[in-house]
Amino acid sequence: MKNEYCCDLNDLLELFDEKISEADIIAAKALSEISSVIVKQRLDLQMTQKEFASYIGVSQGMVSKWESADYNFSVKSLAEIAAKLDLDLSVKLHKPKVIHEEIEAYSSSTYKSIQKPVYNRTANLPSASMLRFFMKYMPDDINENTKDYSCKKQYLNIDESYKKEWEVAKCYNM
Amino acid sequence: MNKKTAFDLLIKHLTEYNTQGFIFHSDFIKELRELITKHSAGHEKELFNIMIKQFGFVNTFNTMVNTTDSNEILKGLKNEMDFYSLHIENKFLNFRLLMTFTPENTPVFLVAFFEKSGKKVSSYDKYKPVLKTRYNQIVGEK
Repeated sequence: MKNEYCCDLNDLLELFDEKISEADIIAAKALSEISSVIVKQRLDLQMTQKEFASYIGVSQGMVSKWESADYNFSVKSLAEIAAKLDLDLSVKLHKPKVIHEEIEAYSSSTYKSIQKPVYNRTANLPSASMLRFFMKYMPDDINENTKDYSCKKQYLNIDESYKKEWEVAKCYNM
Repeated sequence: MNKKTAFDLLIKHLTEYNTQGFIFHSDFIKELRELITKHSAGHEKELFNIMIKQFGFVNTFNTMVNTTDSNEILKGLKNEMDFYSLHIENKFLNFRLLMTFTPENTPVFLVAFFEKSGKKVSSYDKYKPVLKTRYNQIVGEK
């Protein structure tokens, strides 16, 4: 299905790249999840917003705000909604799972197999492979010529051993 | 977390039940870019939030997305496909995102346009041929 007319979510999100922060993205994701759950609960109960508002003891306007992702929920208000709908509530602050899963996968397969060659400046492929891996998780505007290392350091602080390997790979590929 | 990771996580969330991801026609992206420039200056975050919410609804409710918000279904005639109109509305914004689903239920976004301020009922007649053309350009003529 891929052709010159096809774009994906990355293309769309790029439109907002300059206008929004990491916090905005995290907040949008959380609000989207909450809105979807509340709407789903209401539809499962086959209720209108008005009936649902009455069911959980708030105004229709409040339900409308919850569903429109235009309400800044407090943890307490979320807990009250969860209690009324007989749901559990989980609020987590954690390292992004996607990165750790990728590192694990990388570590257990490719990384081990290229550990030695990465120090061998005559072996081109392993370093390039590692470089691509790290580049995947950095802002697009960061490359070997980028002077701003703040993002790189922030990411590489995850694990010093990866940082060391990255530096070797980076030097080699430059 | 950096911004790219945050975007990756957002995409992962939005496509949780939809392994093929969302598809956007290149002209949809152009139209949305124009809407952002012309009609949402200063309100980009609100637009982003509403859009992400709508994408979440699309992922959760799929072809029932017209039952959420004030979204609409544009019923096709016999043997024709249905299209959907997602409303991007607040007191500053009034856009419509027109989309459909492939037979595999992959969401395909085809047209984005500005609706006059406060107008709740849109006329979609002039967009229907465009929707069909763009859909065929992506999925192919049957």
